[in-house]
Amino acid sequence: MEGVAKSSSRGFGIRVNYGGNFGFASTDDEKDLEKRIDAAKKNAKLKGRDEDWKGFVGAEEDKDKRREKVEGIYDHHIVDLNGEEMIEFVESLMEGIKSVNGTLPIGGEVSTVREQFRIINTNGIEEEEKRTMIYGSAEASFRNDCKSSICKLKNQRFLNDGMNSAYDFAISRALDIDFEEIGRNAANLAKNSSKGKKIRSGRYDLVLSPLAASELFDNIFVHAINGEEVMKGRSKFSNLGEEVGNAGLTILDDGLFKGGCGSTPFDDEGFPSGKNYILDEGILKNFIYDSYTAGKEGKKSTGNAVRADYSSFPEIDVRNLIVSHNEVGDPIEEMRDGILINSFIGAHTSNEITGDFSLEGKNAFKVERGEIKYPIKSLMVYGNFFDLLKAIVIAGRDIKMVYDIVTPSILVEDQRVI
Amino acid sequence: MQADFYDVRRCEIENRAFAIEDKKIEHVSSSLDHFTVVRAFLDGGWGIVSSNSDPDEEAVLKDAIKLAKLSSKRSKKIYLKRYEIKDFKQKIEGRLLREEDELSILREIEESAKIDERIKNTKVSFSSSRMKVLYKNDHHEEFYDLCRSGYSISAIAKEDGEMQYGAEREYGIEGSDIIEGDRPHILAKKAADTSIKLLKASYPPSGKKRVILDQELGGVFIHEAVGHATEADIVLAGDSILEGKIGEKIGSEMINVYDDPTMMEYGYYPFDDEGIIPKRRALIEDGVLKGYLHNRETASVLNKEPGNGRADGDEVPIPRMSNTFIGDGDMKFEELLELVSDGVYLCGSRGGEVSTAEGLFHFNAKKGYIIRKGEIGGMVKDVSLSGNTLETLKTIVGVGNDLKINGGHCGKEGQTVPVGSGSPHLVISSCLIGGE
Repeated sequence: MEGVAKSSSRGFGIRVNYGGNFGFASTDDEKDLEKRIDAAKKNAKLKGRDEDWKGFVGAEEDKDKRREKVEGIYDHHIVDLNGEEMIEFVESLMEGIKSVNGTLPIGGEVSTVREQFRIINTNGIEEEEKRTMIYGSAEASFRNDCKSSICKLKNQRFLNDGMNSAYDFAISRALDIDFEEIGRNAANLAKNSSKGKKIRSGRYDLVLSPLAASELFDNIFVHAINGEEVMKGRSKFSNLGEEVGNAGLTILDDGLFKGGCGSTPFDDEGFPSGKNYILDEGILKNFIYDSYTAGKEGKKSTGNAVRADYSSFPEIDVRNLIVSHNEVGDPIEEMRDGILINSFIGAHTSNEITGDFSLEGKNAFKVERGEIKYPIKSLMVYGNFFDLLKAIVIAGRDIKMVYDIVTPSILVEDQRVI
Repeated sequence: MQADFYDVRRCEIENRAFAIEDKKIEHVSSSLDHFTVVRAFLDGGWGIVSSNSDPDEEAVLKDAIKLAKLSSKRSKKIYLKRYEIKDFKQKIEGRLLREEDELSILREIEESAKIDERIKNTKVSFSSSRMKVLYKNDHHEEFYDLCRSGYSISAIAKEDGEMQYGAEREYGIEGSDIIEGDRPHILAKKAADTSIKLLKASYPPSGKKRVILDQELGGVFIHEAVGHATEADIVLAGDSILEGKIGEKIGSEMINVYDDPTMMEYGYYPFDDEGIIPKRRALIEDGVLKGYLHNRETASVLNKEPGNGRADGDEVPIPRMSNTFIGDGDMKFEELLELVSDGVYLCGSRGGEVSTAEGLFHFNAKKGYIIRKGEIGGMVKDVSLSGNTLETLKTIVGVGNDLKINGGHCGKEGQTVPVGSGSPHLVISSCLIGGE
């Protein structure tokens, strides 16, 4: 046990419509509000007039769009948890790890959040919501100590694949996490990854676990569908209606997704949340917008203005990006000769504009005739995300919420592995 | 109930940020925040309470002690060592210009990136963060006032359906001065020039190659692959390949690695977030692992000195790097090129990641050049390098004499802190390069 911490904060993010533009400032001190409003005005003035700025979201313009309630984003059981119970959850994580012979815990964490937010503007928007969240993660290691004297002599204990680690986590807005399972998953993955073999370079089918798949969607796709990036020509996507993905692939952004990490009845500008199909059976249907970028394009916001907290400026981001496929099955069973990859090392190094990536796979396994055969010591996947979108042929049933990306594991055909 | 140890950290942070894109001011914001975080240590457990609404310190301390008591029930009974520190006060003058003046300088910098009609998009951004930190515990009090700032420039070039990106950035502790003078203009031109040259660049050969890393990429390598593995919390958790290796030769004799919070670079701090006045630490000397980086807790457990306990905002201080670098060797760049003869010269970093337990690393360079017969040839794009940290440290066969430290941000356990990392040019005799 390292420690128990609690923290509380509240503050105000202020946007003003002033001198033909908007300005932003924030503070955590209510007494300071008047001064900070002046600072926001000054910031608007520094930016100068902007013809594309059409003002804030209004209550009137969206009268037809009813604000829907979102289910499953507040659970009083989370709020009611006491320190003692939180510690028991951490112990469950550790028990899960210890249940797998030979593994050791590297670390584990359980945290909860209760948040409450309110958006008011002079156009009549007045919205309020509260949410809860619980998060648990565990990291485990497995040491395959080489005891032979030759190993010791050469001091190659670690070079000889002496240690493997793995990580698992779960996040939810309701108190429904099985902490022991998280620990067990991490420990099993670490243990199963030991004594990895090298594989020959070549082209293989890949099964990407929900975590590995979400890393690629998060680092490349989210950028490519951002209305602002599209408008500025910094996205691989430009024309709606084009076939950009496999004909079975549908990707929905849903701000109302039950229990979703990014779910609220309205976005961080007060615009009502809804469902927005980005890809429908492979066809590019829509991008995501906040009110400013939508206004500039003569469109309506899609409810995708997101703030990290009160002190950050609303920016375009996905709400809950939900990946699905017409073909559902067990991707591993469907694979004749391929590789299962559990996560990537360095997914953020992908080129978000061109979609090119070369990434080291972590906790990867060779699969033959539908069965996991052995762990792979080191491999690098060298590919292009936009080609990969067309090669997704089957989705699993193991849907996982990885923050604002919700995806099953996916089978991707014919990728280059070094 | 009394704590074995407690401390209070109060911070006031004033941030501002600007972004100009294609001559239009896209973003201006300012924020003012403060927080108080109180920690109590009791019977081996920590209790931590933070708030941004000026809490009553005594009430919060009581709360923290209660949480510490709760966590101590399951803790190993470790003893937290005491460190004698005198009262301390420091104000570093990081001058900030008026916003209007900063914006007009930034506009000129952006203009410098428009070197060619193929440059279709340029963006320059600037941010500054002025931090006043008050630290106290039961026997002393410290204070500092420091302004960190930085800017970045990016350019996108397009031609015949091909699109490429170049970016440069710089961070420091000199306030607005960082955007003054010629240097930002030189970097703006460099970012634009890179994006244009990448349009015609080819893919690098893939496989094991002899490579030179430039100072930026060498710095990222030493920070990511070695630095993180020396953080004592990672070592104690059994998550580091460097566990149990102090005094062992882990790399080439040419390699010296230091972490130095006292250098006036972006990772500088007068005292850490646990009130410790830091010192320069040798991590590797002549290829031998010398030590780890500690906060109060890991230093107490391993009987070492703390000074690297750093926190992001009101989070918990954990062992972190400051300015981490490979010390200068004695070879000139031309000599390194000759040493490589045939290989790849890798420049800059577009990011990277490591697994400290397995000792695997993976980085993407901004660009590279083919080296043939000791001469720099054509540019290559989308080049990545990966490998095993310990194997790589042993295969460093040349160290230049041109150390340079770059500022950046380092993330660990969800906490981001400013750091410097650097290296002279390095030659690695065999490294896995990803390319076409």
